[in-house]
Amino acid sequence: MRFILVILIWIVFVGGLFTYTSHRADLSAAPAAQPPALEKQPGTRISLELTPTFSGTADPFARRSDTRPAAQLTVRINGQLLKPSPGELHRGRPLLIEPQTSLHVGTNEIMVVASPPLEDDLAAHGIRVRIMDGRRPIADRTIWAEGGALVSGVVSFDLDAGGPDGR
Amino acid sequence: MVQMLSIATKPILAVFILLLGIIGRPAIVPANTELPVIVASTTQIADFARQIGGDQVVVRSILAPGADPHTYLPTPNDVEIVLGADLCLENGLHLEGKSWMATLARDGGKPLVTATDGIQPLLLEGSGEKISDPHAWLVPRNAAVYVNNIADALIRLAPDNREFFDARAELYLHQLRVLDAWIRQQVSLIPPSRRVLVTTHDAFNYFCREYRFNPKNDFLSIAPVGWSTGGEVGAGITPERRRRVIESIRQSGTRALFVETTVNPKQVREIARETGIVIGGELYSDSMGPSGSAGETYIGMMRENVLMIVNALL
Repeated sequence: MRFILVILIWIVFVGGLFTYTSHRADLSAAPAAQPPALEKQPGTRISLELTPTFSGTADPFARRSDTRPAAQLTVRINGQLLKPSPGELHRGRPLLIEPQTSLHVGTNEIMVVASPPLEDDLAAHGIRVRIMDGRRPIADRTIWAEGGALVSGVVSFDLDAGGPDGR
Repeated sequence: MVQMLSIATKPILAVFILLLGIIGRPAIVPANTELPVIVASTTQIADFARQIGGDQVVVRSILAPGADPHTYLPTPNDVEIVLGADLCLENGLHLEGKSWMATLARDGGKPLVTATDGIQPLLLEGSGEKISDPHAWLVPRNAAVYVNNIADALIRLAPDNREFFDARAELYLHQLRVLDAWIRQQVSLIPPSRRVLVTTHDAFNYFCREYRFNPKNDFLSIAPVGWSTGGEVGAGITPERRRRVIESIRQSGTRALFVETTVNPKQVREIARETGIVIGGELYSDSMGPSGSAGETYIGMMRENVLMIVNALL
């Protein structure tokens, strides 16, 4: 009788331990901190200016499907795909994009992917990416790629209540 | 007393250790026999499916490395393999002689996807008829169409793995892009006047058109055997075709001829003797290389082909 009681106590003990360990991850998980969204201030307007060394073409190596047509230019802001599609690239002509969403106080990232033409062209290509606060550039970087490769890169910049700080 | 305690605690300890063992055991996923089975007609289509499907699918190829898809005759074992499939993949454009893969899939009641759907085929002249060249995979740009078609088919088959298949397909498409750029760089090492590619059968039309070989033949392949080694229209070897090839070789002053891993090299060896041109090497065309060889993947076979061509023609 005593032996069975001891077994039962052990089962209760081990069962409790199991329940605790299986829920431990949930208990210890802290809620993810949400960076404060950028408050729109009068006169503050963040925009992107993209100036390519090439005219965009349909990318034969893009992943395309019925639900996802291939785009010649993809822009992601903090991981989110910019919609609608930002438009066409023309050699030497700046393309101005005014993102409506997703910028927040702290570090922001803008990823640009574009496909230069492949045909008989082994020249390097690039896109100058400028992040503009009104008329003032807060980040300015040119992304280069060797001939045949995608022009692909990330531009980071900081925004705070006192004013943006590009890098 | 100590001995009694020891006797009483032994079974308790045993149960405790057993329970701890059960609790502490990591989740073991049994060997999954429920994975979708994909059966491809050719080795290169099987490779594309493996690159996209990873360990979430089982991929089988009907053709073994080095086998000729034009003249292949399915065996009872192939019927068994297709009966176990959830999805069949074929090249299409009559690469599979007498549509043997479509027949296997239809007889087995299995869904069939044609990997060349959406490709703009090169049209060849043969006995007064227009024939679509099936060897589209021999340029990475077309291989990208195969990959997109296969990725879509896998997503339809296992929609829960959409992100997994998409991510793998995107990475593989990047690799194909790099392969294409590398081929352009390598081919640019050969002076334009020496860019003459003579092979056993007409498999390299897309390759010649894309990378600007054979300018005197409208950037199309030069070969004694037609687009197929079988008996279709425009296929096989004719005395007229053989005469034109020898004429082209003499006019172009090419440095080397190439045999293929899937086709009998007799014709090209005879022409090499007759014209005094060396054999530059053996190219992968209708099939990848065997496991363990440098050409055991699509990217590997393309790399080895280009290295061999550049080395022989420089």
